[in-house]
Amino acid sequence: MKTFLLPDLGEGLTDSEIVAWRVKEGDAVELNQPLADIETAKAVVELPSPYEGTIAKLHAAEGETVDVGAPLIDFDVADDDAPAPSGSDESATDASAHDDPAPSPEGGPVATPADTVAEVRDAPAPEEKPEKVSVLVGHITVHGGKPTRKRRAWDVEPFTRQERPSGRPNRAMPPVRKLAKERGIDLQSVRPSGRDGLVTRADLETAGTASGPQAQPQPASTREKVTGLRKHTAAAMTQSALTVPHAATFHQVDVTETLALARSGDASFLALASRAILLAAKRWPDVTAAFHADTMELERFAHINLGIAVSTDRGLVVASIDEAESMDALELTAAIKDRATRAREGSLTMAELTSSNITISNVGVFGVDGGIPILNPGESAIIALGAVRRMPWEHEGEIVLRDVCTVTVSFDHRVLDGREAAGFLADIAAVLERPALALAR
Amino acid sequence: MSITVPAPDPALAAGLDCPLRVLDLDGTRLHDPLLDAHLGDIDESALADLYLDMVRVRRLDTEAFALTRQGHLVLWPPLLGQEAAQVGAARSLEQRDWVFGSYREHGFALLRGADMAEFARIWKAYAHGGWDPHEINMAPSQIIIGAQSLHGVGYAMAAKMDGSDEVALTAFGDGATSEGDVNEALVWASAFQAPVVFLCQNNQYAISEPVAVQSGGLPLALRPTGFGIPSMRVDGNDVLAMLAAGRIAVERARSGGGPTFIEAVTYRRGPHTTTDDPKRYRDEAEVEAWVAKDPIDRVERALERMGVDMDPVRAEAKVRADRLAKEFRAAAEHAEPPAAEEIFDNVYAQPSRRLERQRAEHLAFVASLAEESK
Ligand SMILES: Cc1ncc(C[n+]2csc(CCOP(=O)(O)OP(=O)(O)O)c2C)c(N)n1
Ligand SMILES: [Mg+2]
Repeated sequence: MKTFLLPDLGEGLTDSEIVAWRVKEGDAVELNQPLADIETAKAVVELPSPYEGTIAKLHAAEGETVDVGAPLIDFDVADDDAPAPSGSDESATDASAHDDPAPSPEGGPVATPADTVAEVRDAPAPEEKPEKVSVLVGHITVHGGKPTRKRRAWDVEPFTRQERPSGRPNRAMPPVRKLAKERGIDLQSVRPSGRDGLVTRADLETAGTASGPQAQPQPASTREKVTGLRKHTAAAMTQSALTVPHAATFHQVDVTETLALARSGDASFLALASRAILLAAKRWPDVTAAFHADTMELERFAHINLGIAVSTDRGLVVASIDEAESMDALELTAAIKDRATRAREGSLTMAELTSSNITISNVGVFGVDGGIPILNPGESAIIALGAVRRMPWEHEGEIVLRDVCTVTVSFDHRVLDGREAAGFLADIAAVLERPALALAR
Repeated sequence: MSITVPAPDPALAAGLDCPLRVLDLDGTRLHDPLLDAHLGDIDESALADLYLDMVRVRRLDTEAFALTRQGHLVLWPPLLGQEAAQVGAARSLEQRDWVFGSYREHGFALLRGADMAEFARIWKAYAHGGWDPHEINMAPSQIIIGAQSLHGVGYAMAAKMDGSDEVALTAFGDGATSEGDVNEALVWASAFQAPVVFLCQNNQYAISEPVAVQSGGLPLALRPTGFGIPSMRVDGNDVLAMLAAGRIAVERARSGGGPTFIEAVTYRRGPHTTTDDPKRYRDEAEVEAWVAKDPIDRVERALERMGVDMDPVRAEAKVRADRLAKEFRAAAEHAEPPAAEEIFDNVYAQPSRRLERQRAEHLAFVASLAEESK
């Protein structure tokens, strides 16, 4: 086995981010085959495979930043222990080399001349409508006339270069610079009184310290580079928001009985709500379908893979519980807990991060009643559960305090119309209101 | 504050897109009286040889690029797209002539016969010069933009004084024409009628700066005329046009006709070096347009039109390119760093006493470290 360490892909870089893998573990790869897109501080570059062999292990996930010199990929290489090629001519032992008729450096004639005469046309090609340029010995003259050449970017746009602001920056002697640094004073913010615009020790005294309000003006804004999961979320949400016609529908639901059930047993409220969603999804199968705009196809899945949106320190991920329709509420409780834990640890597999076909987002944990979620790319519905509130509610002809929750469904309007989305939502609500109904469904 | 360079006047820039060409994009052989006179000996098999050269040059370039990404080399300035400009010009020279090039002249290095193991060491930052210049009559790669034009002119002036018929070719980029060195070189070449060929590979960019920024919208080939040096604008992606232009310039130089300037209009399809990201300053569409003018595809089509069966030619090219890539990869992977005292080598032709003393001091210091660690 050979372990490939991440090289310095620019001059003097210390780390790089894995943007995307183009291979997975177990794949056979050729020498120089592109393996990954890697972002350095300078550019996104393609990593060509350093070996021919099989990918044994990928040491980093997409979005992860890897230190230069850290293990990146393990390869199973066929002739692992074979001596390295010597760099001399013997190294040319490829299968095709033996039928190579020992070419001289100049190369023997290899073409088979046919007795046809090459086509001859007057130069240059008509497509380019040339201006006549006389050449050699003397001067090139450019004749007038209307040039028909293709315009290039810099012909059309005048070239404008932004220059640094004019004026000299403030300067100071080294001890004064040191003092300014110690006090946290920006030299450029001080009015210099010394000769030739030099900042003096006294100038620093009048400028006060950085803790004084006038010392260092708060910048109006700061910028930082968006990387990692944040960047992927940004790309996924942009794609989804810009390519999918979203619509949403919401419903206030009396969840008193479901909440009581959760409090009396071992199944969590979220797991019970998931059961309600799964039952409704079975009655409205298109909510888990995928719309393929490129081929104009609707893909329907045999199973419901329920995605759970988990907010982690690194950002938002959607973890899938595959074939969730076959699980009872206790199994779902355990599965949700497992996915949330592993999402926070960052140990979910690529499959778990990408296999969901419908997503549930429990925004209620943030204390809000709801919102209109953006679809996880490739999916047709996402359900947002709001916070459960005790509020006055009509119940059996009277106004009493009940536990009420707003449920929202965002959907892909190419796949579902209002009728289906509303029917789906009403079915979820019916089970949440009367959990016993689940027995009948 | 901003500086605005006005858009070039299209009337003045006429001719910008119609440099001399004898091989059309579809492989048609075009007729050009000036160039044709120097291509009489180029039959199918000679053209196929140029094809093989270009395929090998490209393969060397792409292999080295990959080796840099794999951590075996530290830097690589790719020439992808410029194969014809270098191969055509290199094949117009005799082995006794000299080449003074920039850091991007890998095609010249290969065809002049540079030792690939030595060559790989340069880009692994293990060697300053790499090959032995006197073995292949090619000076070490020059990183200081344009400086090699002075070296080339100097060599040519000396050759003339010595009464030899050697010719010097100096290769540089579009950006280099803005350097004082290149302009001084043109003055000296003109004043002394030095037997030198100025080959400017106008690959459209000096790192991120498009050529229009510094050309005033005029063809670069107009400049040398102001120094009294005749000049040609040639399709740098047409290997035959480049060969013919090179032969014209070399013949003039060898026969006492003085300097000639060739602007090879081409395109750098890759990044400036492996640490550059060209997407920040140019459009992908622009690159695509130049892929359509690929110098190697064009020759394949030309050979097909001549009735050559390309399958064996391609197979042969692959064998040679694969062997070269393998040899170069092995050299890059197994290169060993030089001993620190090599810094004292090659400073002067004859070692100086002072340098010898410094070398001895250095070796003593290194030896003392070994003592200490005992
Ligand atoms: C004297 C000098 N100034 C600046 C540089 C930095 N530099 C390195 S490459 C380059 C651009 C050269 O462009 P061009 O002459 O068109 O050659 P190309 O890289 O396109 O082959 C510059 C400015 C340098 N190496 N030497
Ligand atoms: Mg250039």
